[in-house]
Amino acid sequence: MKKPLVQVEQLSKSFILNDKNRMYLKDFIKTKWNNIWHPKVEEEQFFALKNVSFELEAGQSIGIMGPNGAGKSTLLKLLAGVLQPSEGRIITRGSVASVLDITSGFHQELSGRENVYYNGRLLGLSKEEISQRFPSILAFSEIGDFIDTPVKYYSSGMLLRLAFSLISSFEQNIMLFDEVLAVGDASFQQKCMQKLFDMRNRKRSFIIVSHNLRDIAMLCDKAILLEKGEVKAFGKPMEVLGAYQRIPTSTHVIPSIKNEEEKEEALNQESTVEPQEEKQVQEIEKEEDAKEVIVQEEENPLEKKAEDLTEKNPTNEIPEFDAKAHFNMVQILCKKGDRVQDQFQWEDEITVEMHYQLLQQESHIDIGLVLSDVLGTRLFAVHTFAIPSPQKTGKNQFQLQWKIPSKILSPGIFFVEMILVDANQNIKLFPKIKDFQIEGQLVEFAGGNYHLPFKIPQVINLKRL
Amino acid sequence: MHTTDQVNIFENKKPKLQQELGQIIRVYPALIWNLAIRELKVKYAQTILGFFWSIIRPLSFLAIYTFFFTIMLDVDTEGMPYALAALAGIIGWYYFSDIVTTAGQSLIMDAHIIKKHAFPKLIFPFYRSLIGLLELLISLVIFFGIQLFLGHPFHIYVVLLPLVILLNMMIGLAVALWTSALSIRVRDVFHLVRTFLNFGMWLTPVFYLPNLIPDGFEYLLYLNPMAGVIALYRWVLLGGSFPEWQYVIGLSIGLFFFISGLKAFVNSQDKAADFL
Repeated sequence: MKKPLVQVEQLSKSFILNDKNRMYLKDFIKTKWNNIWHPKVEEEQFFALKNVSFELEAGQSIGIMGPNGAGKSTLLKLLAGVLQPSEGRIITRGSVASVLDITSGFHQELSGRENVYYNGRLLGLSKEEISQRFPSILAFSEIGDFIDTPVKYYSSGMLLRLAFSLISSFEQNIMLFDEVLAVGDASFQQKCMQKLFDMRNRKRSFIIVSHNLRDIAMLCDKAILLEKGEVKAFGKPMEVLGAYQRIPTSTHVIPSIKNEEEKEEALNQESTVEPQEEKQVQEIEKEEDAKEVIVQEEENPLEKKAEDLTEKNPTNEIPEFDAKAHFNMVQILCKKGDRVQDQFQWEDEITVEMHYQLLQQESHIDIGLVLSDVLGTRLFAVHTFAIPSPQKTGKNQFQLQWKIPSKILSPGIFFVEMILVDANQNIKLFPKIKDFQIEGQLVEFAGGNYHLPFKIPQVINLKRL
Repeated sequence: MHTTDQVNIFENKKPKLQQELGQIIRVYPALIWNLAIRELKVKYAQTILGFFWSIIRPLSFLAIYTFFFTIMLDVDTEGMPYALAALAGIIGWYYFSDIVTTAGQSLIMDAHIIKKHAFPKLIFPFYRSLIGLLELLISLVIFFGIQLFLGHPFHIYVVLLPLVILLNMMIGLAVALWTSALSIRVRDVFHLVRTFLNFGMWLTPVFYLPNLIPDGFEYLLYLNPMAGVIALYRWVLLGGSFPEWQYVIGLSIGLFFFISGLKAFVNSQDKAADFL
């Protein structure tokens, strides 16, 4: 049994928070002084990584994903040995080359050629080895005659190209890449991808941090999802991607309105343009509204279902838009006979259903709904611009139904994005208001998002309740 | 540097000084050399005179001080030509202060490397302490030139010069290592040390001879490691009597701080990347 190339065991890394990056003498004395009088005042610790464990087998590649500040780069720095673990340990077997922050290793005063040699030495190659690779590095980078110009005169694109060419020519047993695929123009990114595929084909192991989920899905055998320093998922990229997409984004996190003060605050944030009086009126209206929802829920089993879903994922609640509309619920369901389900098969017709109330009699909103896949690709969309507004009779409550026909979507996780447009053409985006999964086995790489051929009948329906 | 069957274990453990030094001697001499060469290239990049600045700088100081001390003050040089006595002092002191100012903040100046590569961090002050050697060697060539010109006799003890330079380097590193170790978290230390260098230059018999120190203040000489180093420079380069035994006190203090500086540096190095 061959031992894994990289073993990470219960790794934690903490930083000291309260003295930021540097400390001046007066702060130093002050903390020491405080420590004498208040021994309890200890340095505030921030855990960038908590209890992280995984293994990298020879020939495998791992992609690390996660929102900003999840600890991805810290993990890579620990793997490279730049930072020292606070707890736990890392064992690496074989040579490691790390590409952290790709261009800043370049010395501004030296020429491109000198920088290749200088960085090559830092990466542990001898002069002869670098000379051997130099022509291919130069060719790949497309720098040409500028190679003997000091890099401070390079454009940032040139610098990035040279850096990536240099680094990708050093094939160590374990390569660490931090956001390398975010560099250069589209054609150069294509070249980088090809280079990484070459490495993969030759069974080189690499660990890559990327925000481009598609790259990770295509390049890596496994993926790690980090969130707030903890491993949230580890496994096949597509599965981990699903988990990643389900992390609420920052625009998505909306505090659920619970008491008067919070409501007041939320209102102030929402509608800065609205005059004070109107605000109060709306507040009252909303309270009434909330009561109504509760009553409805008791009566309607369908809505109870929706409530359950919301409880599981409370951030899926939609806030009022411009303080003019109130969304009571959003749910995704399919009806099999009389039963309502929230688990979906390929052959099911899926309904995205939402109930909302316009808080002012005369106001008007249009709604666009977009379905996107796990990589964030927008598959298709519907909107209410095209359909006639319901008759102006009855209550100011609406039900919107979007029926996604059966036998279209491949197994996988999908997200519904909502776009609201009011009468003044103000636009508000709500990413990932709801997600759902189509059960079944996806044939990776050959799967695709759709089952072809298909035709889409009329799928959107708006009515006044 | 990397071999295929190399196993690295990273964990929260204080590194041992002996292991660090052993690793540096086995694996990193070429890298230290390359870094020093690169730094020299950078230092003189975009200058027209290039390496000539290394000659011009000490010569200009020598001219100023020779004028000041021989013509204005007429100091007693115990039979040595003043220019040579002063140059011997300048050579030692400038190498010392070069190490303190560059190696003393090497962790900050080389932060871009430290944040990306896992090297034993001692190589940074080490390679920076080598850079000053070039100016030192050029100054020595000038020194021997003046010596020939003035017809001052050469001395057999000159073969001990490399040892004196090594001692000079260690004492420079003693200050630099402590400065680096302390300034990882408190950056004032470096400014403090640099200010102190200005005092040190005049408290140490660099431009004058120890005989200028008034009676009762000799302990200032004997406690000062650099006074001993410069006395040794003058002895190996110019001959004369062997320095007084009391200089051993200062030199021992210097060596003590060198060894303890290595330890302090190694103990604090793993925090370095967190704070840079």
